Amino acid sequence: MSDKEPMWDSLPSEILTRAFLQLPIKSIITCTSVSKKWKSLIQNPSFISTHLHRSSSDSNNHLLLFRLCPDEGTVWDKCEREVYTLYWDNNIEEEDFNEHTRFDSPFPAQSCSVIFRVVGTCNGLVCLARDLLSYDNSYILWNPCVRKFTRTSKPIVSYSTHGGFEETTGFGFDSRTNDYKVVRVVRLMDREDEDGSSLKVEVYSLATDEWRMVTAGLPSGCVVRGREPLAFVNGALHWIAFRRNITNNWQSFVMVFDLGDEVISEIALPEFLNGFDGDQYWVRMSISVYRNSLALFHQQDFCSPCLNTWVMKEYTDESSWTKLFTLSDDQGSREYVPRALGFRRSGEVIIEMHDGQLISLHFESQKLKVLGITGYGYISDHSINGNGYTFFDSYLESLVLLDEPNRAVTY
Amino acid sequence: MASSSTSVVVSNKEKENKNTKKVTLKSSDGESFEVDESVAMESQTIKHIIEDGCANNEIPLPNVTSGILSRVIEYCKKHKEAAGESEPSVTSYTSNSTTNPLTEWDTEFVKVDQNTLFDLILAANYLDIKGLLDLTCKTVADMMKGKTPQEIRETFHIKNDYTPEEEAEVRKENQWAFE
Repeated sequence: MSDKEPMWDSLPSEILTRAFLQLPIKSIITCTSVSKKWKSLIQNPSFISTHLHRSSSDSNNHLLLFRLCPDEGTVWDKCEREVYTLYWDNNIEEEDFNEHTRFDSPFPAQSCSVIFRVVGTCNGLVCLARDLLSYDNSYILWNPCVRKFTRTSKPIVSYSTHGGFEETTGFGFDSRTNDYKVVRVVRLMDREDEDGSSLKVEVYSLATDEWRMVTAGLPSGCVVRGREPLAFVNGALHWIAFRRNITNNWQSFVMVFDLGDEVISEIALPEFLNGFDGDQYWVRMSISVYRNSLALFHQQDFCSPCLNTWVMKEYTDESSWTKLFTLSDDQGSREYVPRALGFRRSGEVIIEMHDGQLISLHFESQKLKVLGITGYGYISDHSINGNGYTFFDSYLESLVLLDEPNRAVTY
Repeated sequence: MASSSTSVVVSNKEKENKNTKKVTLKSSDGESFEVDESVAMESQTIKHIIEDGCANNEIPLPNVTSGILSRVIEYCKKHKEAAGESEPSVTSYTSNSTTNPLTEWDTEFVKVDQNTLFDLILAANYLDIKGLLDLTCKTVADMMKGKTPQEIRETFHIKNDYTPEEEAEVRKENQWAFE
């Protein structure tokens, strides 16, 4: 054996990247400054993709992202300051619910404006919209792990071009083109198209920084509610839409937008909705992701108020909608039916009580775990399908946006 | 009860020894190592050679010296043993990795000088032994963690090919990570 030092610089790239993958994100970024070769290995889409894949398959690394209500401050403060925290998604009952880290929001609170609405998260990116109280012109794609964000270009539909509207937004990843897409579903209130349609769908691509109207396959005569949650699963965004039925009442269904081929399709909701007399538009329900399929949360605010959860056991098989559980609130109040925020990987449901308290429900055993963290609870203008203030989703740490030094802003 | 189970184990082992296939691995410096075929097959590279029927008498490994090869064999033997262990002894350990005996053994295994570590990585890569490659890469990662770029360069003898201006630019791109 020679005494000379080993030629680390000559290590094959795949070995070096294997080592980088085992580093925490901050250390990975430090390595970009060691040499040009290391920088080019790290700041490239293929490494970022491998890192993401590894992040998602490591079950010790699963996280939950919450946007919670700040503890201190006046009512105004609570609507201006944003608290984003990451918790470990551990399933072990005896362990406490542990915080991993907090993120500072890099976006200064504008005076008299309200916090962002979190549209969704995907692969470590968080999509934000400032549309809780006003019409906004752009969306933000933010990766808090690498402290970078980028603003989308202006959408096509705006107040000045189309008049007043209700809108809802979704965010997801197109694995075919390795691109992140924001989908905006708008219901025009002031006008309609020549064919009487008031529904507009446009899609934004991060790769091109452009919006494009979706016209093919858009069902006519349909409307959406504002701030309707969009569920991203199986490469498609899903949302609840409505069309008039023969009795001229609004009837609900799931509209599906495949991010890859940008084709629109439909899935029916559970049959219990057919029993509703009148407009389903006012039913307090929202769609969510359950495993690799869909779930429907329904806040029943009549008879015995309770939270019902349905899941579609076989994705796209409409006959497989099954009621998973019913949660009654002891208070029995119509106003304050608990609201479900989403499922954890384990299948437990995160629920927000009327006072904002968050709990994790293991519905098979009926065990409730109080998490000790608080959302916004009921805000006076809470919408039919959720208030858009408290946010919860599964989260993956990633390096997405690290390879976009020219487009992404670092803070 | 105890004595009868011991004798069962012994007789199984005897059976094993009679039926175990061996294979000979030859290092770059001409030394031969006879190992159980099952242990050698921890290496995907060797596994393919054997399965392709190309392993006549010896399998030459021109990229691996005897010193490194003996260590690699030690790793494979240990991990093969642990994998093949019968239920009772394995379930006596908790699932917590910090008390998993292999984790401790692995940690000791990689407490070697840089040259040896470097050669082990290359060998694990060439022989395609995933566990050993992950272990050695993790060790390298641990050597990078928490260090400044200059400290990393010194540890790994990496030449800095940035000009001072270029380096400042790179740091500026992600300023927060360097503070």
